[in-house]
Amino acid sequence: MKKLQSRVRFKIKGLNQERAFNKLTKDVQVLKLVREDKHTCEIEVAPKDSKKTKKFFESNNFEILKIESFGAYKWGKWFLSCYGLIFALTLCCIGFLAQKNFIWQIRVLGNDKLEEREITEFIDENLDSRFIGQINTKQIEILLKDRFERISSVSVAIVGQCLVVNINESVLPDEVVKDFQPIICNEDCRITDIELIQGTLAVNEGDIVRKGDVLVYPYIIDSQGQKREVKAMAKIRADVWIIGTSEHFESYYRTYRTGKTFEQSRILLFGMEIYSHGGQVPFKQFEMESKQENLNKNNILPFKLHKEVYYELKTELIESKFEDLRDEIIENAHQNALQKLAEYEIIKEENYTVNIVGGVSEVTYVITVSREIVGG
Amino acid sequence: MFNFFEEIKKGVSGLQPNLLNSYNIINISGKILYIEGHTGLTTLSKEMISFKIKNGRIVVEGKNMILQELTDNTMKIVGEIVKVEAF
Repeated sequence: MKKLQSRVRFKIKGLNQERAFNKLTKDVQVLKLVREDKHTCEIEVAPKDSKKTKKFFESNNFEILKIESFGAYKWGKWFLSCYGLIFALTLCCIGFLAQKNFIWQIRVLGNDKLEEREITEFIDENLDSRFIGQINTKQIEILLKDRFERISSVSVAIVGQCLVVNINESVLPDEVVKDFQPIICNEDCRITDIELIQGTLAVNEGDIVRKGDVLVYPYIIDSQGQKREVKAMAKIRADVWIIGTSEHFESYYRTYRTGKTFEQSRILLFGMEIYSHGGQVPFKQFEMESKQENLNKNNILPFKLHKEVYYELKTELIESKFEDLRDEIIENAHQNALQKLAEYEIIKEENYTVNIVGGVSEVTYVITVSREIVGG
Repeated sequence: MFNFFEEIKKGVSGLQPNLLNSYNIINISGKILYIEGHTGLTTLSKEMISFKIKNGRIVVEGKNMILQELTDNTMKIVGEIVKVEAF
């Protein structure tokens, strides 16, 4: 609490101080008095007495060495002397309070088909002012409902400095939207079961179709013989062939790294070579990996370290007979096919074929599964 | 109104009343000395503070003494009070 106590400290120099203090205390209450040496003294008084005290010392031929303020009085004095700061703070407060009364953002929620930009532009055009007090949310709701046919219900609310527009779009029937698309097959298969709901079939049970073929057309021919567009809908099941392959070469060359390496490094400055280390590559067959990095982090002298690592390679002829590895290659093809299956699919049939042409044997493994390729 | 000094004086008999109205000094644990009724400061230093009273002078000796309050008739000395002498 003592630190907060407002007081003014004078450091004075002069003779006959005691007599002066006795005279001063007739009008002023001294809060603290410390004699530093024979001629100098520190005296503290209340802020209200500071002018009187200063005047007293000046009129009694005392030299005032220092005047200091403490406590709340000091901060008050400092604050009042900072006109710029007070002005800026006041301006900020006024600006902040003023902008609190305006809408700065329009947010549209719940729109799917309608463009947010379209709605915000419409609101912007129809707002007389962005002043919160002058915004009639009910009126905006009516305007939006009249302007956009797709809006089923709308609510407008002011949340903070944001105008929130909550929209429910009406679900239009396809006949109104007129967005009719045929059902297209996504994989090679044989149709096993068809349940047509709406539209005209392009395939029959037992047909083999390829990926991209049309399964159901989006129209019907009515009793008048007229073509009428409808949304194509059907449930179609088919046997889908999942194929996995694996190859075997009777002889081929395999290249591999021996594990031996050789390094070459160069230091570059502006693309010029300053230093190099390494020499001739001692390998006959090799592959190389290089990387370049800055030697230091400053941009004054951008030294770069260019490093090349050479790996020795060897090539060997691998020979094997298909019959020796037959089971392994078939299993590889089987696994490749299984990876393409969806979870919990029931396998109807499995078979494989082997093709041997010019020393290359290819195993094609086919898994047949029953899948609903079009659903509802 | 209750006055601490008046209450003490009441219980003492056989002393002239005018002698009891000169000055009052209270020494609190040798750290604070409160004086009432001085008529002027005569010496001020960290080791010695003296002041006038009616018909005499008081000298206070000690260490690191400061005057924490000074009015025309009261003062509060804070520090290590060693000796208070009346002359």
